[in-house]
Amino acid sequence: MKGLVLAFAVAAFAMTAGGAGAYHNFWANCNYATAQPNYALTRDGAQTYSYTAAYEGYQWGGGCWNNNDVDEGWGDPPGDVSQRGEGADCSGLVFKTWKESENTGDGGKYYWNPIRNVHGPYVASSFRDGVGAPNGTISKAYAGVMDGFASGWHVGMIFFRGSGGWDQMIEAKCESCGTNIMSETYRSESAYGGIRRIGWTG
Amino acid sequence: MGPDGPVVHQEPSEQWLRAAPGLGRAEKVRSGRAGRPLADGGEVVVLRTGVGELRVARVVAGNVRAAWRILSDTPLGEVQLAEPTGNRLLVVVKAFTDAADEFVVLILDGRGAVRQFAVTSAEWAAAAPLARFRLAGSSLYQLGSTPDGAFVDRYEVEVTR
Repeated sequence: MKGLVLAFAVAAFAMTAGGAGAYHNFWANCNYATAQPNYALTRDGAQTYSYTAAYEGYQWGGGCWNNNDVDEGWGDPPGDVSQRGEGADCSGLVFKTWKESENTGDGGKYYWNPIRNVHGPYVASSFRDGVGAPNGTISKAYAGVMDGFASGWHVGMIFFRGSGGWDQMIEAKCESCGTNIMSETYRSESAYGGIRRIGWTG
Repeated sequence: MGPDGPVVHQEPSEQWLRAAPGLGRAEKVRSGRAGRPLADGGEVVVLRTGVGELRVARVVAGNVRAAWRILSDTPLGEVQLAEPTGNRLLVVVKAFTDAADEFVVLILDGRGAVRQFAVTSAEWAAAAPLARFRLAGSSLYQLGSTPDGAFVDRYEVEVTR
């Protein structure tokens, strides 16, 4: 009986390991270090930080990437946080770029290393509605660099405004399209609202 | 379609580049222009500035032949289309508030706007930013979507005076 239980346990472990191996389990490379309180929050600094996520992929519910410009979780099935792939999702990218706290009542600023795996407590609609102490809304016509646009299903930040009236958005968009700067017309779409981080220092 | 074949709008440079088959990357980059090349050798230049202002010019041989300054109390968004139709210019631009949006179609000539009308935005599904309108002859086609599916609407834009 003991041998049977041991064999079963070994079989179950092998199935688990095989399941994880079928996807990428990039999270094994991530850490869970304490976020560092950080006074500065500049728009150009946020641009630089957000761009470290470009080409690093998308993971629904994720928030961990390594800045080597390769999506090491590419091709995982979408919409499943258990795939543990590389990259943030849309709200995770905004949360980390805007240096927010996991405590929604805390409007302070916290640096999250890209490889620190954290998504934060917000979803896209939270940002749209200005939920949480660090988050506010803004008239879309006046939204500028590193402000953003959020709907009930997606959120992104303005990298720069285009001369034709659309915006270059830095966004974690989907498993197949990844995270990058993309041309979007969210500003003029009624499904999207203007959002801002409260407390820019420059 | 430009004078030397197809052109594409490259992003994020927002320049118009030649895209004819056989062109190398370097040739495409060198062909980049701020204005959209037209088959007749001219160009259309578009500049969105401020919240509610749009400037459009038709340029021939480096000289501005006609220019329009469009002012709106309602904020203006992306310019979907700016293309000649005969000796007029058709412009499709988004007007929006924080809660609503629509496309505005303007037909411009030397005296200003000779016709304008609004079109529902019908943007239920995401699409490439500037892929929603096409002009063919005097017909303006809109690719739209609702929860029931995608559709193409046609608007007659011929102006008789």
